[in-house]
Amino acid sequence: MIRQSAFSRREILRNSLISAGLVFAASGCSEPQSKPLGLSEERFAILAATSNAMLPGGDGTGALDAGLPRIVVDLLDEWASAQTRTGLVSAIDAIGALHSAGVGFSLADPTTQSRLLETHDIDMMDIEKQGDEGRWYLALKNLLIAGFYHSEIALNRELDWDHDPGGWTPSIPLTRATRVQFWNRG
Amino acid sequence: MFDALVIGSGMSGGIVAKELCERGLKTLLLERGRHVEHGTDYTDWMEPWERPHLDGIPEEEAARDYPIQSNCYAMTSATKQFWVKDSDHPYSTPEDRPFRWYRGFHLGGRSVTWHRQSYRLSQMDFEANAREGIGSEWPIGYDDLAPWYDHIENFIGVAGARDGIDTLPDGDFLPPFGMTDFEREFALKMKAAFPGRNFIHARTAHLSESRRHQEELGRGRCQARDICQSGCSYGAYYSSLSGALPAAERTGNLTIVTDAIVDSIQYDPQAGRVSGVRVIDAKTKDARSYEARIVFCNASTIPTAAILLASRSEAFPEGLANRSGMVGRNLMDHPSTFVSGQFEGGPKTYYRGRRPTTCYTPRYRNVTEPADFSRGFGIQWWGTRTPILDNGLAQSGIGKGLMEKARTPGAWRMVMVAFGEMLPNPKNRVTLHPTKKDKWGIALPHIDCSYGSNEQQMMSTAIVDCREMIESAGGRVMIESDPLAIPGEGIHEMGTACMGKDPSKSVLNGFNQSHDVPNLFISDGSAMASSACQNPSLTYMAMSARAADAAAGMLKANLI
Ligand SMILES: Cc1cc2nc3c(=O)[nH]c(=O)nc-3n(C[C@H](O)[C@H](O)[C@H](O)COP(=O)(O)OP(=O)(O)OC[C@H]3O[C@@H](n4cnc5c(N)ncnc54)[C@H](O)[C@@H]3O)c2cc1C
Ligand code: SF4
Repeated sequence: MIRQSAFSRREILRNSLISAGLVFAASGCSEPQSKPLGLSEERFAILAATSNAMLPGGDGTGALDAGLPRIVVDLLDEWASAQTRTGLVSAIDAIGALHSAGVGFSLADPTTQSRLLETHDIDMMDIEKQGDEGRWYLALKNLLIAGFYHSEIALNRELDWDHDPGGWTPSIPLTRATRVQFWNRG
Repeated sequence: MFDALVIGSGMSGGIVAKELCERGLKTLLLERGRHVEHGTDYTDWMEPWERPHLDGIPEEEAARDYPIQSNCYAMTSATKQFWVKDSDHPYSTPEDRPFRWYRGFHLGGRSVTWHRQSYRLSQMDFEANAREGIGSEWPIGYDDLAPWYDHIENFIGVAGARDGIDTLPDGDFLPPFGMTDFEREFALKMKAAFPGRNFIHARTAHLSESRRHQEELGRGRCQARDICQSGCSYGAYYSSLSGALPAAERTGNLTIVTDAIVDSIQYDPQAGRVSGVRVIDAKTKDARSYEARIVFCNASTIPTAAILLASRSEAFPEGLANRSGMVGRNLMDHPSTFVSGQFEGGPKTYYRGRRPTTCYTPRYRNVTEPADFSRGFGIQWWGTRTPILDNGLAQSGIGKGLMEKARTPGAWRMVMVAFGEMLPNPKNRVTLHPTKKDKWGIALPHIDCSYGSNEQQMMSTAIVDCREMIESAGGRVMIESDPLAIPGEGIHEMGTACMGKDPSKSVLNGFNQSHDVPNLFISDGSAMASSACQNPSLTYMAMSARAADAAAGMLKANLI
């Protein structure tokens, strides 16, 4: 069970970034500092490969179809504080440092990238043990998920998005084809 | 000279203006914030991918300009225009007693951003202070307000069911937003396990169905989009902008002036009456005055207290209408807390649309079940299939498995949020900062407010009760909050110019009229003598309509 210390009465309903687990980053936010914009080509390549491994397209819609790496770079530039950006970039760097049989993450083939990320994910999700490194990985992961499921293509193809549902129907059958409707409240 | 002047165009001020205009009074409505055009100024057209920064406020901007407001769940990049910049609108608190004051200064006030939960108070609530010898004795009872609750519910439109519960009186409702199968099952199980508790539809100011008089104002049926705090172009939830102001405007009796910050109310000692207000222009900072035969102060609880305290004169050295010394005292909010749990199994169904409301359990402590504290709490609760954007999803690995999880409705979750009654305490108060001023030269409100042991005990019990309900329904508790949030988090601040029978202990009489100044009325949250535990805005609106009716009558009879 999670005990929430700084509770705002409807924190559970808060906006996507906050519910994406980034609240700890925002609360540590201090005076604005200047920060470099954009990502180096190398980091962008790691981010793109991570996005693809995390939310692969294949025969469906994936992160690259949604332009997720660019969405994340824009968030790093326009939304993240210097501190958050540093933390998120450190999580990208940690993924970039993964390697298999001497081949670094960004140069590995997609199957190897998935395998490397999967193992890293399992390690990092043990947040207690991993401390800040784990928390920044989780923040990056949540940002990728939030960015993807806010995109037009993912909302329309992966989920069941309807801007104007026209009314509330409290019960519909759940079938294998039923998809989640977007919005935090489910 | 106007017949009437109303300060503040929010939830209560909008209703006052409408009721006065409909009674033929030439009415001036002064609003400190900017004009907002119903419909065109809203952002409800925005698709999720069009909301800047995934609907988040850039962190450095939040820390610099919105350190308080950005803590509110409803403040997003799409709704940012409806929140004040804290950097422009500072206030002070003691260091060890923070208060989160969430607000928006614009036409319509917080009626644009509220969550629309709308419940009546009952006779039990109006009797509580007198019974316990706490705070100021209410000068009105439920029967005084009941016809005005009817009147407001009919005007604004409240979706709900008639449940026949004495302590949460029924009203003139539109059809409720139905419960999901999971919620219905939960309600049945809970009613069997806890016969003294009720598990009902929430009552919400949305047009689940529209009536002729609402359509005439351009309001339409709710589409279940749950993006209401962006403003609703359908006018499907009630706000001053969708309801009261258009109704007032069509009488031809309303004049609205925006960007007009009332800094004081002017008192004429010869007449023993208020004569009007002094205003600072928000854009030019120039001062000017307006005159009227009656003044309604509806600037909301904290600004109303600040305006009265700033309106000093020889006759009122401690602030206007403050012979009792009670102006600014008894500030209250609703302490809140929450528990959520997950269930294995449950109905194999889902739902369609985004219901903009919840279900509700009215107060049962000290009603049908005893408690070791005074008063009680109500619980808003709802069931949902696992949301997609939270840490739960992040724990689902990566790749196709994660995506499958994201698109498939998951386990049912129950979320329960309790709101408790805060006792009036004169030490919880708003004063004016002795030296600090805002950029318009107006003294900053100083807010000193904390919860006491009764609230602490009450909300600890609320957590235990919610946990017990979730577990007895077969769920596993996943998240539990601390028992008490920071005061102000309830966004139900009230009580700084309380009504009462005794003029030496209260500011207003039973018609929201100042004991000290007969042509001064106050019908926003500051008038509340006790807070009950129900969301309060419906009561502010009912009181406002009743007070406006009384004031118009007194004016016509030349009594004021
Ligand atoms: C996110 C959120 C959720 C909420 N949910 C609910 C809910 O579900 N149910 C419920 O009952 N309540 C809810 N509330 C609370 C509700 O909004 C308030 O109780 C209500 O708006 C108070 O009405 P009011 O008229 O006192 O003040 P407001 O609606 O705040 O209006 C006050 C107006 O006065 C203006 N003003 C202030 N000072 C001056 C001045 N000096 N000169 C001129 N004008 C001035 C302001 O700009 C504002 O327009 C919620 C509020 C928020 C923000
Ligand atoms: S849910 Fe209803 S009230 Fe809210 S924005 Fe949609 S249509 Fe308007």
